[in-house]
Amino acid sequence: MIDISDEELARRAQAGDRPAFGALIDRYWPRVFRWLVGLTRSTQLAEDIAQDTFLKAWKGIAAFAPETSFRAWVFRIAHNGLIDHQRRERPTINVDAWEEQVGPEAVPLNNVVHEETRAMITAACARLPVSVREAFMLRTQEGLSFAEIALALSSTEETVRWRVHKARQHLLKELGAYLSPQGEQDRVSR
Amino acid sequence: MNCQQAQTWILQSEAPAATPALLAEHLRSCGHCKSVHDQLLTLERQLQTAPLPGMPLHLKNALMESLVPVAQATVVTRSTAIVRRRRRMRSEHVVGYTVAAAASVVVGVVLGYALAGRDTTPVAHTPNTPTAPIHKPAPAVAVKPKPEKAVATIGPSETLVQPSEVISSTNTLTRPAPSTTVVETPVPMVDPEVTSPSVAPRPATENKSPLANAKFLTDDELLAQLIENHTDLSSVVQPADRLARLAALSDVIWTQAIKESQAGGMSNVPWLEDAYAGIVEIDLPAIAKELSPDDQAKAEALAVTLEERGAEVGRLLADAPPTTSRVFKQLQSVAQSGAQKLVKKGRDPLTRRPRLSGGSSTLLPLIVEQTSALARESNPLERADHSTALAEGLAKDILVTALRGEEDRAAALGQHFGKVLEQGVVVNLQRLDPKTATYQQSRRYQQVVARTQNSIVFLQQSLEAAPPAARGGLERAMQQGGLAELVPPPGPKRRVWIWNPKHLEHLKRWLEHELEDAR
Repeated sequence: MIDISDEELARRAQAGDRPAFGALIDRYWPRVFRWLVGLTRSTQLAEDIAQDTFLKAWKGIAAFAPETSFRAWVFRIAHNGLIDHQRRERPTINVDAWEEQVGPEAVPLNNVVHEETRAMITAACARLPVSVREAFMLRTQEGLSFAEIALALSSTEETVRWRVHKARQHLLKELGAYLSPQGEQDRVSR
Repeated sequence: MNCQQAQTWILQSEAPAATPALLAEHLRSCGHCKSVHDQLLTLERQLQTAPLPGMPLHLKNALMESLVPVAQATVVTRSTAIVRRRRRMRSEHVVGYTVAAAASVVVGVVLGYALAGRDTTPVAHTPNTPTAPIHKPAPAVAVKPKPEKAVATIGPSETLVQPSEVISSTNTLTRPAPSTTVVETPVPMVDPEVTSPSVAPRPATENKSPLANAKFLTDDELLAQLIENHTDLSSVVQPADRLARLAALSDVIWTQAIKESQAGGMSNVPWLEDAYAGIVEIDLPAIAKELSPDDQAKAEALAVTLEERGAEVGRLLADAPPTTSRVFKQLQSVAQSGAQKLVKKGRDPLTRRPRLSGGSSTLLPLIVEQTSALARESNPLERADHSTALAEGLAKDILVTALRGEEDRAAALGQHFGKVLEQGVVVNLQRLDPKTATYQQSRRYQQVVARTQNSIVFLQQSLEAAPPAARGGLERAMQQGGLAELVPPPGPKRRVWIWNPKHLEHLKRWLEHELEDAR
């Protein structure tokens, strides 16, 4: 089912095809989970909300319009799930959660530098307001268009564009020195 | 295009890598804008190439299993959706008013309970999980009733720690089982043999009073005895066994209350009285209700024994001074009332227990509370959690003791800590059957493991942050508890969340403050 489009899989799932929905889970669970970890800073909570997201998606698959974007739809469910959770409980903070999602596999030295840079970026992202962070991560990491993000976050394209702008501006200000090619070279040579 | 226009475009673009001709021309001539553009591309590349977490297979399987067939006929049109939304809003309003009214009642009830005493009945865990049951099978676990070696893991609390990881794994560290402390114990009132099916009162030779051989226990001796009772109770699951073990604990408390009253030291007596009442009048009758018809005779035998205890303490009243006689009367009344409740049919026993507090140590009442709760519990995960709560209390006491410079006592507490982990937490965690474990059970399992890890890490961090005066005691406690060899498994990213410089700084300040108090 690798070559089949999301929309086609969703259409099959609407007809009760569980393996088709399973393929969608394979495709989007890791992305939804990663995005939720970035927002909640808790892998446990992210896992719970991701599970809930796909259960809700299955229950509501009949309401999905196949001509629209499935990924925007599923991220919207996840976003709503997160809001529901925040209404119910105090937010969980776990400073190491982001790092824990990645295994401790050995990496070459230059990769260690990239890992370090990435860890700094992750930490800087964590300091962004959630509303800005969620839009930025959806655009950068998950590759959603501004229109899809607007759909997922129940917002407008202009608002999304502004939030992504603010996120980029803030991150470049904070991490500029580390992000220049020279900065990386210096760190590798160290 | 000027610099401001160029940078606005770069920052607002949906795809900054695709540069239009005008921008490309500007970037060739402006080093600063080129640098901003490059930095943004590096930033986004770093995020895009971040490894994507894989979905654990068991999670996928569990999720797939829980996908119940959807009704194909439920095609939602816009009009039906609007009608549904309006209905939902109406029902939400009704529910909202109802909840508001109910909440005020609940607040009143809760306040009443809080004022009257805490209910220690274990509350069902309600994790933030989907309502649909998701079955997440845990991996195979080697069940060892009496493990020679106990192993604790210090892995990330968020990572699923499986039963097998706790027992043995290449990523975990094995520590030798701490040696068991031999404590001079009062003769238990009821042991598994004594609670025989016979309904008739036992011969006098079998029913020796614990008072006969008992002596007044110091706080540390009582602590060791209570830990012994706790770990003993951890090892049994059947209601008849739990009844017998808890009865033995009630005997310890009964004896100590009498001895302490007679010795004139009344600091622990109030909570001992409360503990005795809670166990005899609430916990024992509750467990007796769980007994199978074949075992009902054990409850009746226990009732007879309690009657005898009441009579025995009644005989002591004749020579007792006024303050002591009040305690004896109370013990007598509780024993008689408990005996009646044990054999009473039908009505459920009360579930509220008095909160135990006061006395010369906060740890002693905590142990009794957790042991009683453990006795009432049949769920191995909740049982393990009660032992974890006890381990947490011990960890805090170890720290305070070390800060006071009492190295020997800290070492003894460390030994208790290791024993509770090994014979309370690990033994019960091992009882989780991986084949039948549900998703929520696996979740709860992780929580208990994480809580246990945190208490170990708490001690390790304390050692790291401890002022010199406390180091010796902490080191000995860690050694006695078998924790000295424990270090986090390799890999910079597999850390427990509490292992954090901020927490360490906070802990250092707290330790300094505590040390000042100790001085």
